[in-house]
Amino acid sequence: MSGAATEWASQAAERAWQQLRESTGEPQWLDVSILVRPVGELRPGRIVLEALTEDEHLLGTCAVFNGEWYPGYQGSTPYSHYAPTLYRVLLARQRRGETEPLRLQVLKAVVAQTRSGRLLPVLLKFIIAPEHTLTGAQLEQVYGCPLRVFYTRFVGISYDVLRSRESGGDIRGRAIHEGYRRAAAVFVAGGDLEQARIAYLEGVRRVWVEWLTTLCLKLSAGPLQDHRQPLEVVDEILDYCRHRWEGKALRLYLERLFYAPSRGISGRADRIEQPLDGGPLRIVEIKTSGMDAEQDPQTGDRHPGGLQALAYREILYSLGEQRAEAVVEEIRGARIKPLPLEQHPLTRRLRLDLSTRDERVVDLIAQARNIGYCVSTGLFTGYDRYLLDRAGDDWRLRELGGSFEFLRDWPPCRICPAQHRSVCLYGTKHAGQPLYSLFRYAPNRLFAYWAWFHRQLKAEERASRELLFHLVNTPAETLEQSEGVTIGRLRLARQDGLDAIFTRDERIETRIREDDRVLVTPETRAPGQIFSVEGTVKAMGERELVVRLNDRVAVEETYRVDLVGGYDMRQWQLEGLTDFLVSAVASTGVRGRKVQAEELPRLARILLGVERPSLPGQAPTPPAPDLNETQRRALAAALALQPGDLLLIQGPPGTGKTSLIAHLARTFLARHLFDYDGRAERDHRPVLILTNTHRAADEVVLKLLDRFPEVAPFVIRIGARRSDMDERVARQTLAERAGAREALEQADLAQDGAGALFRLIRRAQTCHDHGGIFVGTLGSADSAELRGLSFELVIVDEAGQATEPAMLQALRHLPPGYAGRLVLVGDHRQLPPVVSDELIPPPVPEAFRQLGLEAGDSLRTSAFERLARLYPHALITLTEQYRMNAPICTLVSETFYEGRLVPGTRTVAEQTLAGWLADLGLSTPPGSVWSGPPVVLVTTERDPGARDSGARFIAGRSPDEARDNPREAEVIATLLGGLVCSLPPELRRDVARGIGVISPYRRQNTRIRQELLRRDPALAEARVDTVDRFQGSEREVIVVSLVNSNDEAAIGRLHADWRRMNVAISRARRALVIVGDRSTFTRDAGRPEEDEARRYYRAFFAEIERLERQGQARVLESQSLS
Amino acid sequence: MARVNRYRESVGQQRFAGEDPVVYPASSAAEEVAAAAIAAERLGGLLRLDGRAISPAEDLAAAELDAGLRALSNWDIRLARWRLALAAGYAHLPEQQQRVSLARALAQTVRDLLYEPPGRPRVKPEAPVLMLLPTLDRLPREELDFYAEEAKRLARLWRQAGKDDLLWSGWALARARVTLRDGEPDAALAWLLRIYRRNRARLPADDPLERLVRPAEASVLLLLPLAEGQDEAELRKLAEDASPHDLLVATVATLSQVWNTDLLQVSDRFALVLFQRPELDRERPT
Repeated sequence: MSGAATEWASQAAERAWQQLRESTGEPQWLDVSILVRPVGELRPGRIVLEALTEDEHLLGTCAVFNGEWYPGYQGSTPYSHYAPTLYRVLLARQRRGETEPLRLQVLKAVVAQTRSGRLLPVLLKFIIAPEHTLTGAQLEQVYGCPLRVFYTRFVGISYDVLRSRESGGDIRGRAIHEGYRRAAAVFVAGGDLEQARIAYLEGVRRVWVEWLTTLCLKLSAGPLQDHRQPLEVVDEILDYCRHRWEGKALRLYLERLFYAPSRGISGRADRIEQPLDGGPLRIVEIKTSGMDAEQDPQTGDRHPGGLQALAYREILYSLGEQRAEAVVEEIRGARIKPLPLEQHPLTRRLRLDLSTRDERVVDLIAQARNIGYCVSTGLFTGYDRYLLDRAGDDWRLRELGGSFEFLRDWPPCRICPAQHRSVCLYGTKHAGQPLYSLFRYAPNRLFAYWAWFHRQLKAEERASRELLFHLVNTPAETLEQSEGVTIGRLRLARQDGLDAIFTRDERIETRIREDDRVLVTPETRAPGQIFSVEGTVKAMGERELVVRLNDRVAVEETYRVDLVGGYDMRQWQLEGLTDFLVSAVASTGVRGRKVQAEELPRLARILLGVERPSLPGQAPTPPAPDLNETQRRALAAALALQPGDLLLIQGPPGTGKTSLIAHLARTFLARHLFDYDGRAERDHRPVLILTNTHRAADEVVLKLLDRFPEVAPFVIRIGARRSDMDERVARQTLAERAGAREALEQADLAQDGAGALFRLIRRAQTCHDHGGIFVGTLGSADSAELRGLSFELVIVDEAGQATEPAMLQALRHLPPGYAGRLVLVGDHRQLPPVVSDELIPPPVPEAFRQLGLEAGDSLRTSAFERLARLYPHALITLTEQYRMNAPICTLVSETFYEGRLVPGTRTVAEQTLAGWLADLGLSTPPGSVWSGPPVVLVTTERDPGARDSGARFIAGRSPDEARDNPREAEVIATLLGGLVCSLPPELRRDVARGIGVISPYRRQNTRIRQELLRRDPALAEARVDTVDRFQGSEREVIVVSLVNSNDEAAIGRLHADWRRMNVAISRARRALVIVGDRSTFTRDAGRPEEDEARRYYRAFFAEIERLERQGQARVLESQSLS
Repeated sequence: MARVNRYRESVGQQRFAGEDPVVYPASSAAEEVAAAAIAAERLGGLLRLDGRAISPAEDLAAAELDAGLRALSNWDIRLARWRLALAAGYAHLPEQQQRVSLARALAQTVRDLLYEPPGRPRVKPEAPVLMLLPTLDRLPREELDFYAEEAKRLARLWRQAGKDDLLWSGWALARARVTLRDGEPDAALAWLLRIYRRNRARLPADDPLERLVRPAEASVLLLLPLAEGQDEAELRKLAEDASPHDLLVATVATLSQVWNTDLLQVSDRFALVLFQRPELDRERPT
């Protein structure tokens, strides 16, 4: 909290404390935020705290007692969770060494008189750490089974992907939700039922196409009727729309994110109806499945969604919407049954009075929120192996004192992965051999490895869970000017469908960029209120912003746009990591005692440094004339791999990693097909290729199709068609292979929708049965296409860019006991994994040297890098590259690869810019920098105007230096203008497409883009991007803007990782220009953490000077260009 | 104790961070070693002394395991689980750990046996034990074979009880005994009445149990709406004489006579028999 929010909250707390003192002995409803610190020894049952305001002004000492007791009170509240949960949270923070005060949203408190006559404030009800946000769905899960929340949300236990699952997601429900959403929007906008029907069917069609793979799997388990429901219910839905809304003026808010900072909960209600005549808001939660339904004990009826609806109502209530109504619309068969929250079994069985401010409602929400927080953040157990095991002794986690007796008699084990994996003792009844005391009996090294990475992933998650609170409680000016995560004063220029174009008069200076997820809010509101709409940035201009929204926005005075982060990849990484722990222990076959590391499967032993991988062997390879010697050696080594073994292939820039992967995949496929003896199981396939990015996966598919067109029928690109996908790649997705789009578009869904779907599923299943090479990203390991499949060979491409937990996803599809082959392809001298900027590297225990980890390592250290250090003998490096000409290659090779990298052919070595232009029928501009040697350094050391702007957005939660250097941008524009503007206009764009400009700072890139456009519109075709987004691409001409130029020799966090420079310069094929201040990078700045990087930069500039002496490079002063 | 607490706090902190530390005495002074040993014992951890790792709580593990198994053989599932959880925390020797794990599987078997209605389809009381046994590589074959047979025997008996009135009565008697022991007399009365109803046709005409059954029935009837002609005061007076203990004793005596076999022994057949090592010559001083 900061600024005015702190001041306001502090004053409110002071007032509340005063109010308490004035009504001694009478509990008061406060609803204020305070900070607390434990005083003295922490004891369960009676917690003494020092209370502070948000600005850390002392309020006094207060206490919390078990059972919401206070001196003078003659009773107690059994099953009160407040004191036990707070105790566990404070104890955990103490054990973690966290000393900053804990925030409590105090709901109810009393000043009581002790026996000695002293007045003691006692806190009775409160929300613990409200800055940490849980969703309404998570609250519902806590009531389903708190132990399941512990296993899935904290530990990260997931289903075994080698076992087929009966259900693969509720497609039926998704289809109805999407159809209903579209129909409602269309009907309310125009009142046309026929248009609403078309919109509904289009929604259903889109969901079916998107989820076709999952539908294929469901067919064998679920009846076809399941898929008929979305079509059967359409008339009822339209009738319902007409009945409710015909002739009424109202506004719908669809799937809006809304958030209560004082409750620590957020949610996305399916629909909120706002009558324009000023009536109360109506929250609607649509439910199509009764999996978690509450039963009315009197009528026996079961209805889902009660707690979620109650939580959403509470959010609106806390935001001042105190008349809001909540309804659960249950869709059963072809009927809609709206059930007001007042009549819901949850309300009835707990006897909640929704007509008044019933404290039990808040109790119910607070209990789920506090217990959910304590459990899912790991404060309940930490990494104490004893506590982790003991947590499973009791599904209600009675140590936290919660009351669950009115809600469920038994947890929903059927849908719990911890039961399926035999980890939860309550689930062992129907599962396999129980894993008693999993955490204590796991080998020490395996557990330490798990805990070390787990802790880092949870630290990242914590930051994202606190983001909304930060946005709401920090002044917008601070967010915009110091952190760069907000853009204010935006006007809605126009809306095209869901694309909204916002403009403002002032120049936009921000770190928000294309593809970022944002929240668009009228400036009169705070982010996360129901008027906020989520969206994705499509384009950023100097004074303009285009956002693809989830829902249309109303015309308001001005808007603000807040950055809410990218796609959250932590949960699946957590699941990959924990899967390794569980599978490794389970596959030993030993139960009931401590497992020794030597008993783990061989591949697990290799990953944990217990056993070395085999020396690369040399199996016979098929003829591969297009592979060079090192590629052939790598191919032979991969073919010689035995099950349970590992091979590392390092591929520096342009060395043909993707070609090698294509050969390897094709050879394994052939071996599988031709050596087939009829005994292999249907769910055992030859090759799985997982990459770190979609782009790399697409490239692998393209390489396979280009090089080996005959394997096309066996290649399946995992996932759905994406807008940026090459058409040939898109055709390899299962939905496209089965012709889903055409089939569903041609079918009359209203007449024969289910039949068309059935035929389509059959076709898709046949394609899936023939799949032999599956290609996807590491995040797709749990996808429907791969469920139940194991592979002889798993290849991880871009392994140097994947975090270790992400890489572990690949192991999930090896046969049981990891009895398959693992090949990691990457380059640890290029970019490391992307993790949160806030991540502080945890201490590396001395014992982790056996794992290949060193001081300073963290989640940013890829498994590839670690294993390459640990097993240099198992690493094959490809040394012949096919991208850079000889001088550029020498610069890269001598600086970063000890001179081992060489051009693969003479043609590559001798390629020039002039040759490329000649192929286009052009010539190089005479007398320009482009007509000389291919490597050019434009140094700005003596150019007084070429100083960087200084770090900009360094405040806040995720510092971003956001430097720029206008002079460098101008120099680059001059250079490129000199190349392009001299060409015939009709060819300028072709040349510009061959140009790339790279700088580490987004802000500088925006500036360069604007400068280039000023020179020539054709230069819009040049790609200007950060190093991180450029990896994997190449251009004929690359210009690098170093930006940093200052008296402090501050090279910044981004340059401090020297691998960025390797990636930046190795994108160039024929010409490389570096613009920047050499001295900032080479002189000693007295910062030991930059020593390694400076060594590389010194070597880099020295190599340019050496090349200059040989006539292969040129050094220019920037002033000479103007 | 301050020293012990210091050790405990420091180990607790390290454990919370993911380490599984052994307790090192800060010095070789006797009081430090004693404090470290007490802390290690209380935490169920290892003590490092003279370069060796000692498990000072291993005897506690054995004692808790023994108590847990005894509780199981008395159908005291809750106590058994608590004791076995303690044993699991203390045990460090692989053999001991596997024995505790086996006992936990047996607890599941006994729970199913006792609380699932006999012969219920899809319930397999023996499954937890039979699934676990092949993975227990540190226990003697003799012991494993014994428990495999024991789990099968109990499951067989439980299935037969679904069809056989005598076995069912023995099983229900076990339930009555358990509820009576756990201090729930009303529940015990209900179980005893169920046994009575099941066997009423076999009782002699002068029904020797009737005098005890009528007060028991009265106490149950008072829970329901009164039928026409029933006098609440009379029922209340009658219910005062309901004695689950007397009814239990009389039921055992009467039905043993009727079935011509000791019903208590039939009931005892549902108890877990514990493995005993008969060779006394194996005992060695520790």
